[in-house]
Amino acid sequence: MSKLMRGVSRKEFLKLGGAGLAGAALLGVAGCGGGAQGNKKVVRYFTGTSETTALERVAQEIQVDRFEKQYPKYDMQREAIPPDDVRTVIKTRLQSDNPPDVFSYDTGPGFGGVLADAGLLYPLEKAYKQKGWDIYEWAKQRATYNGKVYGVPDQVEEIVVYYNKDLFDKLGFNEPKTVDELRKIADEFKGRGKIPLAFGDKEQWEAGHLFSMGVSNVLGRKGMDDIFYGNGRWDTPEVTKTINLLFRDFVKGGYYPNGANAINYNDANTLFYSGKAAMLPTGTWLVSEIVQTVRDFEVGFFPFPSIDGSGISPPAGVGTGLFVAADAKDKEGAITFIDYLLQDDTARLVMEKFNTIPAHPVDTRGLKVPGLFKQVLTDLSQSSQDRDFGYNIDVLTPQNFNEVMYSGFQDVINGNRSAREQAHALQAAWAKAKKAGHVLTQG
Amino acid sequence: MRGTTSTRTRPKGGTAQTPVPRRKRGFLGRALDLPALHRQQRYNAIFFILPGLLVYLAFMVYPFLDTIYLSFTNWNGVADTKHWVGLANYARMFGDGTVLKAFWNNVIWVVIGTISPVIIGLLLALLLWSGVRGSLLFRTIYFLPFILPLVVVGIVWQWIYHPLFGVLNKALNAVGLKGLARGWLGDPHTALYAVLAAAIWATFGFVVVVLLAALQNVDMSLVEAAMIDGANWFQRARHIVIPQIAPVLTMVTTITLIGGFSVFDIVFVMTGGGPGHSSEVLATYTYKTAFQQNEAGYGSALSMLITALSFVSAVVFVRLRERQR
Repeated sequence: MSKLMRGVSRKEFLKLGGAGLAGAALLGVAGCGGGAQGNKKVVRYFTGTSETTALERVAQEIQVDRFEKQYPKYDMQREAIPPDDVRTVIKTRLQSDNPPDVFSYDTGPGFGGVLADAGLLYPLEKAYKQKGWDIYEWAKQRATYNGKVYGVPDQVEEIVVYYNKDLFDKLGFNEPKTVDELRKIADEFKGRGKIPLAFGDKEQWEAGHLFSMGVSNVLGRKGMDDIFYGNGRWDTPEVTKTINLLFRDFVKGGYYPNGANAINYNDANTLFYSGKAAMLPTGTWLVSEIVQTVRDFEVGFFPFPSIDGSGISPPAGVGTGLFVAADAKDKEGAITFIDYLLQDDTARLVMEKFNTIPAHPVDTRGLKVPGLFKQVLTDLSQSSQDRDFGYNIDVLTPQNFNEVMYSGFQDVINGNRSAREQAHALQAAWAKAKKAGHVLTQG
Repeated sequence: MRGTTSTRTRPKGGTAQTPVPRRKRGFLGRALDLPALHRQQRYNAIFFILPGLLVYLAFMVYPFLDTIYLSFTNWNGVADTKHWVGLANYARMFGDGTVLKAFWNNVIWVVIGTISPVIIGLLLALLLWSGVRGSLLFRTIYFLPFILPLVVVGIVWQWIYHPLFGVLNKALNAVGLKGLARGWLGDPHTALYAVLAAAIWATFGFVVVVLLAALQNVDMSLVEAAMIDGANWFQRARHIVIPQIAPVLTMVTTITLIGGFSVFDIVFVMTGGGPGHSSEVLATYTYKTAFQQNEAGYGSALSMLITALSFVSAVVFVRLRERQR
């Protein structure tokens, strides 16, 4: 009979337990070896994956290889997961014993703001001063919570309507300036068997972007500021009219693909890339993918046109930002990495490779970028005297509001909720967020 | 001869034995009427039970108790502070229209999602058991969807239902039923049922295989006797076969029933609870509330609701079943 079968004496039991504990302790020591590998200091960077695998490779080159080459004392460990998943895991990652040193995350009060309130972010005011980071003041405000700067906005975005220039030229259409003109164009395309606007709302945030374009136009920058920072309301006739236009009239008019609520963002983009759809409402973050994917026709873009004589205020603002974890093992390394990304030569490289716009002044002379991206740069560089930019709403609003916005617009599209009901629901969610202190503060 | 461990009759012609003292039984031993254990055996028992018990305590009991505690707080999921709010989260549930909608969807899921795979599985198992040719092949084919992760099932069925490229709409168009073609997952009237169909497809194979195994133990002499008495196929199944596999049928039904209240993955992948909240179930709403809207306290209360519903429904079903027997 084997010893184990015979039984385990108390002494043996204690021995086994002791050996187990010692083993676990050794493993723990080995696993928690701190932030140094050899002579190099480890910097952990946590971010969302890029749109395409080609861009992901470029990200690895710029954010890891080039950084390590310039700063040989650091070992950059970049971890990228699908962007939507970052929102789910970031809280637990920051609360773990091994948090990322630096990470990319949404800057709004419902995102970075929540982390700052929980004491999970390291304030960057000192770093801003020491390194002389020249982030646009309005962008810096997006990463400022309770009067302290916690993040470095890294990308400026605009939401526009891309269009198939070849198709437009073939039918003799110009970029529409009013919704009536847009309707005429859409009707014509529909009659010719094309999908006028490649809009899918399966992930729900897509409707938030469409709404941002419409409501920014009808309310203008001032009206939007009044809601965000003053006593403006969402349940006004202007907002209701916009919801009705975008999510009832356009649906009834057949301007979107059938079953838009069941079509995801990538499928909607594919409809445009394949020439099945004439226009694509989305953000300038897609420029790089469009340039890489679309080979058969030329692509242009226009801001969403005027609604019943309103102004045109395309939503623009900060996308994500870079944050340093409060419990980062190497805060200096994290700040060095952010500083590296903000350097002029790195920023130019990022612009050329990713076709994204940094949130700080960059010398754009001699940049080798595609025509579509040049157009975006020109559009965004227009001074506020020429045009007021609106807001991409969901990055500025708390999650309870976004939830009502997202699920509510799906209901409006389906006809389960009226535009008026949705406007009231938005206002109720906004009032709740305001009462809880979860909304933006100015200055 | 009667005897106890403490008082023994002296064997004839033998020497007197030292009385063996009665071993004390511990609380559990007394409660469960277990025999007293030798010290060595006790260490053995502890040695084998402890690892599993620690894992169970760490990953089941502690999180469960912690969730109960969190459900009485307004914790946002990240802050250090957790304010006690008493029953406020539970009271809020009753006024939350989305909870009622999700609960109703769960009821639909439990009813259709439990009955359908069990009936389909039972019928197919009986057919295969009756000696259909290629029984092994069919059994394998039926079981295949069950080994796929539900996330994969969800993605595959998303493509089948796709409003523009999906085979379902194309098939409907091809047979002249264009009017029925739609965005199955984007239409509030069909979204939940479309997901349910995918879930049933993924589940019934499990029921077939388990019931087929149970059918191997059916007493054939009773079946043959029923045949001689003139019972038809349905009568034999109803009165002879099903009663004999009733325990397994109960087990399978209970598993699918409990799963009905905690269903999450396939709904989350296919519709995310949308459009609007038309396919929202309690688990998807709990996830959104706790992890996306930073209301971990309320989310914990919702998860307690799911636990209570699963537990109560399973107990009620098993009791009813036992009473019938």
